[in-house]
Amino acid sequence: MERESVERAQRGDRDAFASLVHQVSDALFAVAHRILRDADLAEDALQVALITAWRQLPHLREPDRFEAWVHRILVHACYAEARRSRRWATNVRALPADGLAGPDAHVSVADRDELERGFRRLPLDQRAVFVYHHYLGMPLVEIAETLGIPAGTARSRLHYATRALRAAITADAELACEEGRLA
Amino acid sequence: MNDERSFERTARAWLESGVNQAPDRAVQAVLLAIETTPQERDLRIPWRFPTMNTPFRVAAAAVIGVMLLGGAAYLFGGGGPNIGGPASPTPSPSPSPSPAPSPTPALRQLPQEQTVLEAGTYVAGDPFGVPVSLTVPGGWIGRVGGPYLAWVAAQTGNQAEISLSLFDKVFADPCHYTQGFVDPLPGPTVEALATALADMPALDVTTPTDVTVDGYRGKQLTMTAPASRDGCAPAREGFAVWQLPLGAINAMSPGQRQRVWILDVAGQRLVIAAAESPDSTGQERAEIEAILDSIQIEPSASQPSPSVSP
Repeated sequence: MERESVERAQRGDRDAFASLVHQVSDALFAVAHRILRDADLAEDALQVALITAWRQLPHLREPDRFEAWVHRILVHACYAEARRSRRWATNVRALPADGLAGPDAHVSVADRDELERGFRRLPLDQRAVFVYHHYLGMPLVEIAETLGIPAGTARSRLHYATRALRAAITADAELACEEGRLA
Repeated sequence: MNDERSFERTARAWLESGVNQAPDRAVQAVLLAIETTPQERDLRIPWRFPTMNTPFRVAAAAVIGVMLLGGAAYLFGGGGPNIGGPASPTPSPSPSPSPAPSPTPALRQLPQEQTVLEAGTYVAGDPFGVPVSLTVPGGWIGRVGGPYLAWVAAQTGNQAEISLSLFDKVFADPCHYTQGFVDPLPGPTVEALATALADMPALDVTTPTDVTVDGYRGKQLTMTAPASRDGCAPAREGFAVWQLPLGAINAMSPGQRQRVWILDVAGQRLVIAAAESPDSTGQERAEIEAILDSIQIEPSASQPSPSVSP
């Protein structure tokens, strides 16, 4: 991310900001989609985050931290979108479904379903830490800085997310066994 | 997935298998929005204030107090518009006895993130296109959702809500969502939008009537959604009525009623919608009326547009 572009955008240069948008939008959308598990909500969160970033850019003190700063805005936009009134949901979309991105040889269909169900039960703040750690490969300290939370909080959110996800997966597996016995 | 390493590997592979590219339309919508969205000014507040002696502090406090009261009077003078009441003639500057001084309500910006609001008066301002103030009871939630939407709602989930929005797109048939928008879209006038909404199939819509809200003329109508989805193929969220420029839709749930005021505010077509559902409580309905009564509109131009016929 070019510091000069950020500084120009801070001074109101819309072309410079457009350049930044093109650089970060894919990564932001990918993260939002993984946190929210919904393409429509992720698209809305992306738009809200980028417009908020444009508005608040003059307040950014460290231009070199633009990317982390906009990720923090995105995560808050994800939280807000998830809480948003259902009446204002967006759905005039034709995005590909999650599964169309291509099968992954490392994850079986059963594992994928279990993870999906378990993940959707997690609180959003735990989902965010989980995604930043396991998807972007961020260390916990960096996650904490990006999200503006103490490192201990990031650690505990990851711990609880992992524990809850494993427990959910285990419970699903046991339920499946139980249903298999009853069938 | 028995061990930790296996779990992490599986979770990572699962996360990597999703969508990786932002839709072009989302990026284009952002670029379009920033063309008309101002940046916030960076008002850096010094960490330390100059030392003031006590008499000067008192004088400064008095000056600031007068400025705040004066500013509030300038912004919100003239009394409430009583939006929930019948249409009234455009107010004239006739002399009237000065009202007794009353406490000036504290004004706060309606937040941009959904927030449980304390009781008080909020301004739906930047980035929303038309500054509007409203007074909400404690415990309602609300936010400015962007340049085209601001809303407050009862927290109970009974779909008691008041929204302020700016839009052009109206759905052709709320009962058949896939039909898309009316073609052509309604023109830019208040009348055109009122007619488009009044002509909507599937919904029960009253004939638009002339209204004046806070000195701004417009049209009022009431829309009621069908009691059930039977025989319809509505949107996932309900009977879709209109869509905002960034994609959010206004959708009504079965049996929901929505009163709509369409106003020409210095060239901007502001739509105020008050929605309630069969599940809304008496208290929520009363709170909606009180909020409607408190609404005040303060566009950048102080005079209502003359283009709207009385």
